[in-house]
Amino acid sequence: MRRRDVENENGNRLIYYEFDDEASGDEAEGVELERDESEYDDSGSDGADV
Amino acid sequence: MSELRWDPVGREWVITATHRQDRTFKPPKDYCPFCPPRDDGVPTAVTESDFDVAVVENGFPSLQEDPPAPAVDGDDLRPVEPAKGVCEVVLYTSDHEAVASELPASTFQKLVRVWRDRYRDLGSREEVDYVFLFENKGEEMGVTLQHPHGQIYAYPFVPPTIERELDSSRAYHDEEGTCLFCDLVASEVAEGERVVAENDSFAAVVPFSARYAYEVHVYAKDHRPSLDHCSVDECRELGSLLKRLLVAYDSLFGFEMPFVMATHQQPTDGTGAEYAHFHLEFYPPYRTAEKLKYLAGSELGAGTYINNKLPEAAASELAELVPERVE
Repeated sequence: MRRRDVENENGNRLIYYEFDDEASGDEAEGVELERDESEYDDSGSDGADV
Repeated sequence: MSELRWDPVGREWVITATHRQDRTFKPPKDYCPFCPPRDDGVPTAVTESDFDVAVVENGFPSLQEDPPAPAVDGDDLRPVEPAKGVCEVVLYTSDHEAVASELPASTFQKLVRVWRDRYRDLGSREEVDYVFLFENKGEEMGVTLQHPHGQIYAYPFVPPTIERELDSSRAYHDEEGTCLFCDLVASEVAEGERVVAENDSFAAVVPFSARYAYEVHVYAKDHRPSLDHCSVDECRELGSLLKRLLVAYDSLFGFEMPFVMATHQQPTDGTGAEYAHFHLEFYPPYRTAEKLKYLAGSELGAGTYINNKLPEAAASELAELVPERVE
């Protein structure tokens, strides 16, 4: 499992979890962080509203 | 405006979140905020056209990392606190039209591992005492956005239902020296009458004192205080069992079964390792294909549930519909 942290268009935290074809077993899970620190406008829709 | 108001009679926090009155309400598919970006250029919550599982901050959070000042002042009798915490949305798929029970078992397996990561990540924050993973499914349960998704609330306190459960299991552990849930699931599996499905690591059962006709709890068979204590293989087994359960639920009345799904596990304040026990609880509102169970006077006003279905009969019906294998 790989984790990629970005920001969406509204400046909210957005995390994509990606899964390669992995072998089974209780392998240690390295979490790879690829944080995108670039600035975004806070305009547009309100994003994930539940 | 949002804040925590203490109810000294019920001894529980209530969240006021007035901004949630304005959240998006049942938009058409073309305006779904959880779908991949569209050609019209209006941004959505996600940035990519396809993804496995994605997690995004809730745009109308009940709890916030940097909450506003409360609208009112509290006092010693009725304390008020800022509504500090985190609210996230878990998107199960990029496909707006996906039916959960038709998603591959691998999607459920991935989802469980994402839950585990969110439990670890949010639970490591100093201000978070409890990470609550849940799903409201179906319009009957108040769902306003149809895209397949669940939610996470990271509370700055242990919520009252969880606290009551932990009080019971702590008292049982003090008295018997064993975990209440370990003893319950072992007993259910041994008797078998209320077992809906099981595999090596998890068992789905209609609880002995179910409150809803088709209520199901999914327990770790061995003592696992939280998802953080589950191996990758156990996460996969849980994912497969969840898929089998959802197939049975949707087969029962021939439509997608609405429900509330709640996960109960160890608080992240460091307490409860001996007596907290990871499990999920499903509360479907239908008691027949046409009739809903409403929470009314006895349930809401007195806290005593009335169930119109024998749990043993419900378990038997569901067990008949659980596929042996899922892909």
